[in-house]
Order: sequence, then C-alpha cells, then structure tokens
Amino acid sequence: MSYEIWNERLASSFFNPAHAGKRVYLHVTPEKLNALVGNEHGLTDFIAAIKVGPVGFSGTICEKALATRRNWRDRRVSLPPYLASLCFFALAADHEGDWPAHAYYPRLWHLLGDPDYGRPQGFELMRELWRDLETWSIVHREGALGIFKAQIAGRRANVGLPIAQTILTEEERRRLPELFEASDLEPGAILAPDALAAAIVGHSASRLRRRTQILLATTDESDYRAELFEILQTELAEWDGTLATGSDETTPASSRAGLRLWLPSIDAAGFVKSRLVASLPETMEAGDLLLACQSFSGKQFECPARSGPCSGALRDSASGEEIKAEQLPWDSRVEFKCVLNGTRLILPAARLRIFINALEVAHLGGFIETRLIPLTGEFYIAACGPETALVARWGSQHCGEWREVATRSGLPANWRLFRGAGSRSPGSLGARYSIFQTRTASRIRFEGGIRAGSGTRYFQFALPDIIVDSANPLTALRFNDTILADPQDGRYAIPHNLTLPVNVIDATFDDHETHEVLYVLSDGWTWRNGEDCIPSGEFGQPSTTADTRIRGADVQCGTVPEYIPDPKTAEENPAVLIGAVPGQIADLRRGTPLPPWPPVWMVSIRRREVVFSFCGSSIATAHPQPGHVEGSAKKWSGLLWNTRKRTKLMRTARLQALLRTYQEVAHAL
Amino acid sequence: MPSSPTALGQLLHVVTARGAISWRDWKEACGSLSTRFDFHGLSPAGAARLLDELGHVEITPQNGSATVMAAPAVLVRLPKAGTAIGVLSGGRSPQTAQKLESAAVKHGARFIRLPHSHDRPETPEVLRVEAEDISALAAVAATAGIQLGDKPVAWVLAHVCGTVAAYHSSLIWRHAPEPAFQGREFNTLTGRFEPIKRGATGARLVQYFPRVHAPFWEIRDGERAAKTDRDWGIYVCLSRAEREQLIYDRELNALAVPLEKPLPRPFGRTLALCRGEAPELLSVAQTSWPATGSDRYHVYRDVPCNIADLVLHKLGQNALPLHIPAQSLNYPLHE
Repeated sequence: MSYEIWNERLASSFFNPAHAGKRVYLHVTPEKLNALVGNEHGLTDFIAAIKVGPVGFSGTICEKALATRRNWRDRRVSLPPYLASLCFFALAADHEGDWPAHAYYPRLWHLLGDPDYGRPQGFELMRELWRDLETWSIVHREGALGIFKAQIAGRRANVGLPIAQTILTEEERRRLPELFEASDLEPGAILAPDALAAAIVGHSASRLRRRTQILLATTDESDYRAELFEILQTELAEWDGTLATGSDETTPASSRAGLRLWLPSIDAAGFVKSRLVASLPETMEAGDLLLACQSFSGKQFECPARSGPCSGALRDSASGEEIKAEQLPWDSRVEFKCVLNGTRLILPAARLRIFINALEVAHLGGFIETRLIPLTGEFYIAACGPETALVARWGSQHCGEWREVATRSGLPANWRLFRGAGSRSPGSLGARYSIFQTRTASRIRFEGGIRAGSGTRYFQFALPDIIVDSANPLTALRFNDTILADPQDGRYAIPHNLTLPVNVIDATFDDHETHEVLYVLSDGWTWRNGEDCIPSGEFGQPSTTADTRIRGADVQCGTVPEYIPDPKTAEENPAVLIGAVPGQIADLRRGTPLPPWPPVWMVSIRRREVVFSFCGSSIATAHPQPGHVEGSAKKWSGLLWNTRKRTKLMRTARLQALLRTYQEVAHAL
Repeated sequence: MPSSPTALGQLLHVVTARGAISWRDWKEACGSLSTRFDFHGLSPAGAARLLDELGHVEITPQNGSATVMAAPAVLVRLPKAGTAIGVLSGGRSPQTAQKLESAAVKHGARFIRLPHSHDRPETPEVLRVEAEDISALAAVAATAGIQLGDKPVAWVLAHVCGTVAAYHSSLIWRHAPEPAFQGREFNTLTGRFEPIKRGATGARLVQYFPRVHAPFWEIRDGERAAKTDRDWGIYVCLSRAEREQLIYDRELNALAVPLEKPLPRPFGRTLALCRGEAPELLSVAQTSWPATGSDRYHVYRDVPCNIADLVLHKLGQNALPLHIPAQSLNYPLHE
C-alpha cells in the first residue's frame, strides 16, 4: 500500500467518532499493521511505504513528513497527512531488540534496515508535527474523533513523544479498571508512584505485558517508568469505579468508590470530631446509596450529596445521626455496601492517616484525609502501632512546626494525632511509606475550569487554575512568555488579558523544564438564548401539545385571568384602593374585601400626608373614566380632591400628571 | 457595582454557553467549579433544582438521566402592587447585567444588582429593574432584547400548573404484582426513606433499583402501580392520605415547604418567581411550631394570597396556620 493509503487507514483507526472525547495514543504494533493491511506482511509493507514517503515530496523521512504539513488544511485533506510518519516513530519506540532500554534511535534505524544509529536528520523538528496533531484533534475537530496530547515521556524532548505512545498497549489500557479493582484502589485516588506500584504489582500478572510488569517491579528510575506511572495515575484519577457490564444485559456493572475520614473539628482541649465521607465518581449518585456495614449490624446509612470531591458525612438513615468514625478500626479495611445497587464504598486499611485543610479541597470545615503529605501548609497525621514513634521522630526532625495533640475523643483506641506544618524532607519515613510527593516527572495540570463540549478547550469566562505537581522547587511559571506571580495556595490564576486560543505554559525548574498547552474557545460559538430548551407542560414533563409550553419563565398558554395585585404586597401599606371609574373605592381599613375592579391607586393616609402609589399596569391605560359612576362617587372624589394639599409628590412627572388628571375629574364631580 | 460570580451564577453562565448539557456534564461542572466556588453544601441535583425554580434553566428527564437546558431570558414581572418590578430570569452571560443596566438607564428605570438571593450566597446575582409602570418595564426589556410577559409569570404559572388530581389521572396505571427489585419506600409523614412495606395498603411511593436499568419511582396502590415523578408522587400520596404539610403565613405572605418534600417543579417555580429569588432556609428549632414531622423548610417569601391559595388548592393541601419567623436561617445546607 502507498504512504497515503497507510496514512488514511492509520488515521481512521485512531481518530474516529467512537473515540470522541477520549484520549488517543498512537500505539502501533505489527499486529495492528497486519490487521490494517489484511495479511501477515503489514510491517514490511508499512516500512516500505515509509521509505518511499508521500508522493511529491523528497528528502529524508523527517523532511518529507514535515513538508506534508505545510498548508495541509488548505489542500482539502481531511486527516493529517503526516500521521503515518508519527506512527512509524511510535512503532520504533516499541521495537524489540538487543538494545539498552533507553536506546531509541538504533531501534528506528533497525526497523528501516539501516545500520545507522544516530538521530535522523530533522528529527528534532518532528515536535511540530506532534503539536500540530494535538491542535488538529482538540481545536479543529473539537475532540469529536478523539483527543491527542503531545505528551513527552520523561525529560527527553525529542524521543519522549514517540515513547509516550507505547507505554501501555490498547489491551493493557482496556484492562486497567480490572487491575485497579483487583488491587483495591479507590477511583480517583492520587498516590505516590511507589504506593501505586506496590498496590498493583501483585495483581498485574495476567493483565499487563511482561515488559510492563518488569517496569513496575524495578526500583531503577527511568523515563519509561516515570511515564508509566504518569499514565497509570491519570487512568486511575479518571476511572469512575465501574467494571464492564456483563455481556448478557442482566449482569449489572460492578462499581466501587472510596471512603475518607474527615475531622470536622479539632478543638484546643483535644476533643476531636471524626466522620466518614464518600468520594464518588461522576457516574454515581450519592442519593441512590443506602449502605450497610458489618461493623454496624442492623443499621443502614445514607450518603448526603454535595457538589465537589466528597459527600456529606455518612448518617444513619433512621435517626439521621452521623457515623462517629472512631467506632471503626482505622487500621483495617472497612467496606460499606449499598443494599440497593451493590456499589461498594471502601476505606482502605492504613496505620498512618494524613489530614489536610478541608476548606481548600472540599469547602468543608476542619481537615480531610488525603494520601500525600502536603509540601506547604498545615496538616495532621494520625498513627497507631509502631508507626507512632517513627512519625513522632520524623515530625520533630523534618517539620517546621510539630506537636502531638492530646486527644480526648474522636480517634480509635491506641491512635495518636500529631499536627505538623512545613515538611522539609521525607527523612527515614520516606523510605518506608509512600506518603510524600516524590514524582520524578513534573506535571502541569488544570483544575476548576469548564470545557466546551467533548474537547479540551476551555471557555474564556471559566478558565481553570494552573497547578504544578513536582517534588522540585519551581523556578518560574510562564504563561505565553509572561511570568505568573507565585500564589499562596499553589494555584496560579490565569490572567484573562493574556489568553489566546492556544496558550503555552512553561514551568522551569533548576534542572529541567516542562510544558503544557491550554486551549481556549475563542470563536465559532454564541451564547444561547433558550434555542436548545425543550418546553415542558403542566406537570413539568416534556410538552407534547401546543396548549402549554413552559421554558423557564417563558410561558405560552391559553387565556389567564387578569391579575389584580394584592395591596398587601406593596412596599407602602395601603389603606384605600381607588379605581379609574369614579366611585371605585375600597377602604381596606374597614375590612372591605379586595375589589373585582383593577385598582389604579393605593392610598396610605397619614396624619401629615397622604401617599398615592400607582398600582395599575400601565400609565397609558390608567386614565380616569368620568363618563360613568360606580359605588360612592362622593367618597372617591373626596379622597382625591380634599386631600390634595397633603398629597405627597409623585416620583415621576408622568405619574404626577396622571394624579392631577384624577384630581381634576374629582373636582368636576 | 459588578460582583464576582457565585457558584450557581457561574453554573448559569456555563449552561447558557452550552445551551443544553447532559446530567453527567452537569455533575462534572459542579465538581470542577467546587474547587473555586462555595456551593454551601448544595448537591448538583439541588443546584439544578434551584436554577430551575428561578426559571433560569429547564430540566428534562431523558433516558433515565436528565438534561439541563438554558431557558430563554425573560424579565419576570413580579406579582406586587405598586412599582412595576421585573427580575431577570433565564440564561445569561457575564455581559447581560451591563446590557440590562444600560437599557434601564435609557428608560429612566432603576436597576438594582443584588449579589445573590437573600441569605443564599450560592445563588446567582439578582438583576432587578424597577419602573413606574409596566410600559416602562416593557421598554427596558425591548431595548435589552429580553421578553416580558404582560402578566406576572407566577400568576400565569399558578394557573397553568396541573392539579394533583389531574396528575394522578394522567399516569399510566397497570395491574401488576410488586416487583422483586431492591428498593426503598418514601415515608410521606417523616420524609425519610424506609424499607419497602410490601403488601401495605393505601397509596405508597416506592423507588425501585433494578439490577441493570436505572432506578425509578412508582406510586403503588395494592396491585395497581404507575411510574411517577418523585415530587408529584409525594403530593399525590400526601393528598390521598389527607396530610397537610405546607405552612402559609398570611400576614407575612410567606409559604414554607418541608425540605424533604419538595414541590413539583412547576409549583416551586411559581412560588420562587413571586419574589424572583431563591427560597430561604428555616430550621424548625428556630420557631415555636408544634412537631410537624419536618426539621427544615424552604420559605418562599412575597407570595400573595391569591397565588398561594391557587397553589395550595392544586396541590390538594390546606395550609397549616402557623406563623413563619421573619428571619430564621440555618446554614450550611445539607440536603
């Protein structure tokens, strides 16, 4: 097959509507190439096509690929014309052979059947193509065919891009939920790499390739390993806790979520309140959970819904009383199971529990459990058993502030609570527990913004904050080449005036840099004014008739009686109502019911002044109608004319003129 | 002065920008915004419900889930005597307030910008226009390119909303034994969930959880059953059991609704649009009321008696004659 056909087939297999909104990796294997060509010569055919390159272009492999990019969107080509070349670079990263693990270029040359071993000419310019692919998938296709990110594995700017495509195969990715479940990991959890490795390595045998298993088990740091953990952590953070539904439609999807300890208050006298909250993925409804737990025989618990990363405190469904978390064994695994849908909520066993300010992460009071000791700010650690002495020693040696809290309540027996701030280093504790931020790869991430549709473009009015995760101190953070001021809370706010449709963020550390791109939706959309709003009917259900159509406060319906305002709803307390027809007067002080005619004036009578307030619908249609008389015209005219010298002036000239008309009619009567 | 957006104000911008969003995206937006905005304990469902009551959005059930849609912008005339007052309802962008203010200034009307509903700091900014009469209000609306009805929306909605009896009749009833699904029964007296009382007599509101499909609500009366909306189901059962749950204070023009027995959505909107603001929260501990079975209430203020009477009648409720304190609020909200 020609380069062009390979390009089209590969592009269609990676980018298609089935991948809308999902992350796409260009993971190419010989098996995939065979499948695309329909025989067993896929690899050979593909390499031959790469060597020939696209028709009409000359030069090295890289030069030809780069040349296809020029104005490709103007050439009415629907898919990136250089994709086959990028797939070839990704294929090389995974090419098996007798080379050191970090060697990339020898693999590439071996695939081409060339004895060379150095960097191909122009290879450093391939970054432009990876970036262009990202822009195409996110900005031009709005994620509708999948989202590609030009993520660099480790700190190797040139080869890090193809390597990042090959860390996990599609099959391995598909089986990750199963692996997380078997490893008893909480959906959305953020773990230190060592803790993540320790949790999953024992369950990876049948679920990951041997190469991946070795990478997990080794303690040698490498870019591959760092990238593997980056991907595993991202996948765990995005996992919604469900496993695939059974094939027969009667087997329910199994799902799980996490529980966390929450200390709503820690008072100076040592009285601690401890509660249990749930951390649920978006696919779960807290209100649908009715939980039972072996530790609380015969009781059932509700999980109050809240917006944000965790629910309200779990409470007894019968009494409404919140669970006191000290009743649970914190050093053992505790499982709550929903009696309605089988969802499991799990509090993992731990003998060290870390708590950080709950206001910052969940708009809750007190402190909430987390997995990592924060690099800045105040935190608490609860410990039991032999860990207590270790923690006490570590805190006194490695924290700016450290003290034990003499607790009188709130913790299970034999647990002790410490308060720390300004942790300086993991010390000896770091070697034993994965509770410190020890990422080898620094990462820029976004939090708190709103994206448009399935893409990764943010609305200009709802930009995210920038957060940099790194064990190394950040030297500078640049947003489109402008240095952002160091924030107190680690969250960099994006200046609105600096945003462009494509924004480059550079984080500089002492010994390396990392980059990220933020896309902002700039055009091609408008604010909606109810065009997408389906009308509802008299019961709030989607309207099926034209008789009643309700869209918010826009109500289309048949005839509705005139509204006669209740005088009690006026700002002024009215005593008398006056209508447009002479004689239309109702004295509310004497208990007269509301009149059937629409009142024009509400009159409050005070000792020194009489206040007329307009209460008609429209001044234009509220003129007096002297032609006929109803009721007591004498009272009507008396109130209007006799009190004219005590009448407070109206707020506007139009109303003043209207009242004068009434007074003149009254005088004429 | 422009104020910084609130949690629900920002959500309203989001839904206006997107036009309509799925329930999952709505929850994701709530979760994402919760890192920067305080929802004061409000859940994603509670946030959607509140915006729906204010007429800002419309919630439509779809395939066992829901879609939240931005409603058209409407200057809602309040059912008050005296000065003509309009409150902006429906979708809005961050520029809408400025546009409305310019229109108000042009026509000599007063523009008032409240940072949020009274004592509900999570709710959107309240944009209010006061004019000498309805024609002036209409001129402001026309200049701003916003609709304005000739009658107060609360009054129109009160007439349009169906009655509990009509809702009961509109359900598709079938004869079927009670399903063996797991589930829970709503106790209409306490407002709490309890285990299903299989075989019990009278109208019962039950939520079933099938193994594979989405949970659903059903009104069950012996062997007869019909799928229902939860809130309508509550008032059907209350009405059939002749249980009075709502409190209306005629002196204060305030109507209190137990938090765990929310009104069917059209009625909630009717009451909220009497003032154009979200209902306030009242804890029974701050009243001298006898035991009512509920601890916390939503209080809708400025509800004229003609609208309150219509709503109560349609819900099959007689109001409990209790005095509602003018200021008794309880925060934070935990639904």
